[in-house]
Amino acid sequence: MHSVVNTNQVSGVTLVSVILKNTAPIKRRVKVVNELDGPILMPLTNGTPEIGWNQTGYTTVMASGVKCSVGYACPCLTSIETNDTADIVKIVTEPSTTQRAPAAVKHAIRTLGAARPPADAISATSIDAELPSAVERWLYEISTRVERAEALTDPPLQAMSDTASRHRTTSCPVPVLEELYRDQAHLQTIRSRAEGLTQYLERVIPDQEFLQCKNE
Amino acid sequence: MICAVTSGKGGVGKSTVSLELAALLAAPVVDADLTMADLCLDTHTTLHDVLCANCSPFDALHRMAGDILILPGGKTLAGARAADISRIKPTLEALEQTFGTIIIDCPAGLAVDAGLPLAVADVCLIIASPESYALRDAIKIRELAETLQSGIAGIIINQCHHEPDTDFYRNILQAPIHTLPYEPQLKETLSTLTPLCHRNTAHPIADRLSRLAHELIRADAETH
Repeated sequence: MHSVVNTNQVSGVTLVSVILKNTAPIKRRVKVVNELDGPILMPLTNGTPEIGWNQTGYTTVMASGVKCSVGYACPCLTSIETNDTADIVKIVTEPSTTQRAPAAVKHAIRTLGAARPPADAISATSIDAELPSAVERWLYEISTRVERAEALTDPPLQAMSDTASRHRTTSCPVPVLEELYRDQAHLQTIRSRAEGLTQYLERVIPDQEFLQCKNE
Repeated sequence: MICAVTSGKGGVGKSTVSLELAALLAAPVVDADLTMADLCLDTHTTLHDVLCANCSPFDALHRMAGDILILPGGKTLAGARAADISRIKPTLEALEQTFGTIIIDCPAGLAVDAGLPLAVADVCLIIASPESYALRDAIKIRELAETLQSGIAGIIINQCHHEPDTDFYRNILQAPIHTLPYEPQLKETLSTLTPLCHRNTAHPIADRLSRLAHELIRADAETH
């Protein structure tokens, strides 16, 4: 940060002007702090300090290569004979840690979308179609019950025609049969809901080929 | 110094430049892409584990040939879903305290995993390719970096088949412009995880990257 400081004393008031140039290749926050023995008479608009001013000085953010001039008055009667500008103003370029403001981090978390791969990065064929473990377990239990009931069928199913199998006899106990009828009802409900959901989902998700064309 | 290497569009050479800069600055490189990481090592703990608090960032660092330290990104969607992205700030700061300088290979785009490293970084480098669509994305990511108060150390126009008009880019992007020509040998940097500046120190690209690394150090020094 390059700075040029000039002072001029008029009627007991010291007028301070500072010209700043950001020589860094990046944007920087800079603060001009008054070091004179007196309060700052800062620029006011309708009695309100202009943006960036407070009782200690002026703060701004400067883009790379940008020049900025700042001026204020200070009712300081002591004569200024020093060439050391540090006795008049202190130029503070804020350290990088201030860039890691929690506000910026919170802003990023709150306003930006969730991390997810681009849609065309997932091809339908690469999706693992494994069912959730609870569903797999439930289906396995039903399949065990069906296999057990089949074993109790007389004669064995493999030896029967389709018509005969519909009029088969079974030696299943009544509670087991009730369970099988309940499983049958559950599976029919699942089939109907799955079909409905599949149709709904197909209307909602974009077509893979369309996405690929769009990205090209 | 935490330096984020970012871009609006994928495939413009972020991971390659990150790895090259990490080698030149003797700094660890973190692949912060939660879903499409390029710096992946199959048999090692990843950033997903760190962000799930399964291990410390130091446990997930892997030393490669040429003493390059990589904190690899995970590739599973389950890992990306389980990761707590807000842990990225303490993770990066812990690494910076130990190593002084770290390079973050950010994901492309404007999602939270792209923005958060920018909010934490001291300086960022934006990578773009010379095509007009990449330039539009570079403008978007530049705006995001500005919103998140990340100092833009420069914009690299990468994979140039001809020397581009840097004034044109400087006027549009309002930042220092660096150019890197198209170089097929750079492809090996990612496939072998061995930077060109280690493989061939006399290569003209190695010289340009070295100047870029110095520029980063200068940019960081100017912020203090």
